Amino acid sequence: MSALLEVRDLTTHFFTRAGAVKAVDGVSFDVAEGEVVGLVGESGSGKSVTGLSILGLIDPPGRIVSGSVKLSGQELVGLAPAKLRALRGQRLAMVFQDPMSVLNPVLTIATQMRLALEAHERVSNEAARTRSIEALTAVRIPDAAQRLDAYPHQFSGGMRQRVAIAIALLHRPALIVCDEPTTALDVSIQAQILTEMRGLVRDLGMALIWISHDLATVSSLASRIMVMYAGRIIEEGPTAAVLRSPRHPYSRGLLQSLPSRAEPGRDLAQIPGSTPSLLRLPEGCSFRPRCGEKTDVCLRMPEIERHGARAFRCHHPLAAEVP
Amino acid sequence: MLGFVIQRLLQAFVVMMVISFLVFLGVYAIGNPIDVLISPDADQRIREMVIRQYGLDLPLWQQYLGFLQRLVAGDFGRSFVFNMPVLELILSRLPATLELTLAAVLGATLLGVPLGMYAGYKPDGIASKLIMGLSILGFSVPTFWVGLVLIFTFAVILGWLPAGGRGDTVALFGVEWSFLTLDGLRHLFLPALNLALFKLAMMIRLARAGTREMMLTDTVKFARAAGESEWTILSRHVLRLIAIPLVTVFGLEFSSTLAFAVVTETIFSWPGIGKLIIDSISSLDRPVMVAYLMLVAFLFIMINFLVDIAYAALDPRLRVRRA
Amino acid sequence: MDQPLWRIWAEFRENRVAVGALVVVAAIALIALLAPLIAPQNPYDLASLVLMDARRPPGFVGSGGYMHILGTDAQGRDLFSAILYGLRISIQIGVAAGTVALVLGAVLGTSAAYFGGRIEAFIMRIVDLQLSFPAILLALTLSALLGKGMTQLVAALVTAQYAYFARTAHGAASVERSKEYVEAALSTPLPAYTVVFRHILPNCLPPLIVVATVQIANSIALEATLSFLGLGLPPTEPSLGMLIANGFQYMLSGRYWISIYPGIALIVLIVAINLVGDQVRDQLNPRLKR
Repeated sequence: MSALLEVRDLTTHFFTRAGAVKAVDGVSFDVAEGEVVGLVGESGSGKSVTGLSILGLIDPPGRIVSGSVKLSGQELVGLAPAKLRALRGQRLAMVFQDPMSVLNPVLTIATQMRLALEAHERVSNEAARTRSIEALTAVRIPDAAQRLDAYPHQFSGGMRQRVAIAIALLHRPALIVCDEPTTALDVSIQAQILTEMRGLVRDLGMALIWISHDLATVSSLASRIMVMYAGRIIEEGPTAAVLRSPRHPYSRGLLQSLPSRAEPGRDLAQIPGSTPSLLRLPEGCSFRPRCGEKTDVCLRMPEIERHGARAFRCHHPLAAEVP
Repeated sequence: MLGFVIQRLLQAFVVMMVISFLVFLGVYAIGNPIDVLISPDADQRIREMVIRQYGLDLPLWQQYLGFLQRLVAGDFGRSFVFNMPVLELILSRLPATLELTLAAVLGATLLGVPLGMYAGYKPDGIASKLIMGLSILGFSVPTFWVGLVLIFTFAVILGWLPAGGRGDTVALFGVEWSFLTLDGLRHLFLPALNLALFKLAMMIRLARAGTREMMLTDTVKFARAAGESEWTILSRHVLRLIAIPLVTVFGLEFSSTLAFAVVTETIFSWPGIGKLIIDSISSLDRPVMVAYLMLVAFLFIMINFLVDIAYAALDPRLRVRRA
Repeated sequence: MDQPLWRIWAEFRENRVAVGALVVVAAIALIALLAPLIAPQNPYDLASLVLMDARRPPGFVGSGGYMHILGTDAQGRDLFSAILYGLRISIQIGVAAGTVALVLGAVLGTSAAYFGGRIEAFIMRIVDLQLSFPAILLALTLSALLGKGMTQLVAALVTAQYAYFARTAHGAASVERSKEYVEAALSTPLPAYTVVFRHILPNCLPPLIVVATVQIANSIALEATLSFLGLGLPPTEPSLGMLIANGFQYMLSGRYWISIYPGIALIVLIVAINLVGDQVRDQLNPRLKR
């Protein structure tokens, strides 16, 4: 049975005056139905652009240069705009980072939800209101019926994000892409939303791609993790396994830089150097300048190696722990 | 909302008082009030009569009270040139100017906003560049020049439309309006077009700039992610969002158009208050000048007030703050 | 400004229309500067005007012995010379009014933002009030009150326009004022005006420059309009607006050149300035950066 989402060699570049920014450079992965996958990386790794590319929301001067994105076997790259629009919101949905900039400040929640509904169905005002109230209640917004006629600025940050999630869920899409949805929120709210997302995903059987720079949040939600660096996936595998024994030096660096409750007071480890500019990527492996394991062979771009459920892109992968 | 309206009303009132005081100072305290009240070549006996009648030998604050009293009663003196009460004179000319200004502003907005939005939606298209090029011309070319060219082309060379004057009028609510007759429309067309061009160019540029900015926001991305059509996005989201700055400009530009009517009325011999003021300046008909200033100030304050209210009505965020 | 100068120029260069406009502006400025040398006749010199040569079409050879390439006006002035001098006046007035308004407005706006509190509220209230008053009416009234003449005209124009600069400066300065580096600078023993001039003001320059280009074009258009209406400059110093006004009555009888050529010159100047200003504005607008 083929996966719900199949991404093959997705390449998205931004053509600026200074040159071509290779935001996403040959990314491939699958997402099965109902699966929760985490896409982790620093800023500039290309994770957001990957999400946007899947939904076809790349604005000029960016463009999907090559590759394929298939949803239930249907090719999305190069699909006619009208057909793509029909899929967005209905089979595919996206939640963004900053809920204040995402909701229209001059329209009521009711209006915005109705617009999202009417994008795919004909609904009467009555029916629209009922469904909107249902959706708001499902994301735990109290007094949904009254809140419906409020404006976005009358909600707190966490509430707004729930509204955005509610809108995304209106048509029960098969796949939702969440781009750093909790990064802009307080830590306590983060935890709440994570829990609710877990419940929603389970109840509705949706597939979820959770994009974040924060390994901690991702690991509590996702069953599988993909790590991105400089526009490429450099490691992939079941969450627990990747956390316990990362194979790529970068993944290890990420894990080590997390504060750990087990060792309070320890200096936070850092990965030396900084992420490369996507305009001038280093020769060969993009991580080479910062890697402690590098040798000359790293001047050649490593290919992805797959071993069962694990995959990594490295000439000198770290030793696999014996489980 | 009511509190907001009342607050603004009070502010408007205060400003009116300040302006009346300034005008009073300028005319009665600094200038010679006699010059404003009677013609310079009246004999001594009449002068003394006027001094007594208007209390010009009384202390200044009593004169100010008298001035205010007369203002409220609508007594602005008599025009030297026309020998009729100034208020009556101005009111008889006002409909012509209002007609012209409204036609121009409405035309400019109804045409300019859609054109500008289109240019902002597809900023790199040929149509967009053409629209922008034309708008630069409309913006730069002084109104009087356009008027000349229009008269030259349509009246002198082509002979399609009259070169000046107002057409036949029909009484509505006791006031004479010319747009209700065909002949009136023929006469109204060129001056309204002339007056509108500048506004049109401005509206186009504003709508384009606003639309271009809006199309790059997350709000639009999110709406697209929900599958809303481009038409919905433009008409329900973008239009509503750019309406705020546009309305402000619309209001301010209404005042400015009213002022610019001075030029158009001169060229087209349109019998409005604009032509009246120019004639008064050259013939030193001071009562008319003073009254014109006061009335125009009053109009502007009223327009500002209405714009403030409209602004609050359009942007719900403003209703909460005490501005 | 956070972009090096050469980068700004490089981006500017890409828009060929804007570069063309810049060339036009430079050319006109040069011609205007050299007007006394180029023009065959000095239109201010009333003695050199021959009434018999009045209202002649382009190509006519006058009593001065030279050909009037653009014809003559109602007073016998060589239109070509008159236009050159007119352009000179237009540029002079535009730049003068624009610069003074810029300085006045910038100082007012920045001071208001710096002092804050009651002073700020007071200054900005006046500025806002003035902004809602159309420039043309203000200029009209002042011109009528002050009488004709170059200084009076520039004063009227400056009064009508400084408010735009003041508001822009205030907006930009307010943003800068609340930034951390200003707090840091203020906590040092540096005198206040140093902070304002060396730190706050340079960062307010980009939007001010944008407003300046628009306002210079506006000043020129306003002056022309005022002259057209019979205010502004005395009839012995013909500006483009006045030339156009004088020729208006002859247009209906077919002697179009008296109005049309000065008009074209005026339009070319204003459009060119606006095109340059447009490009500058697009480049300095941070919200359009991808």
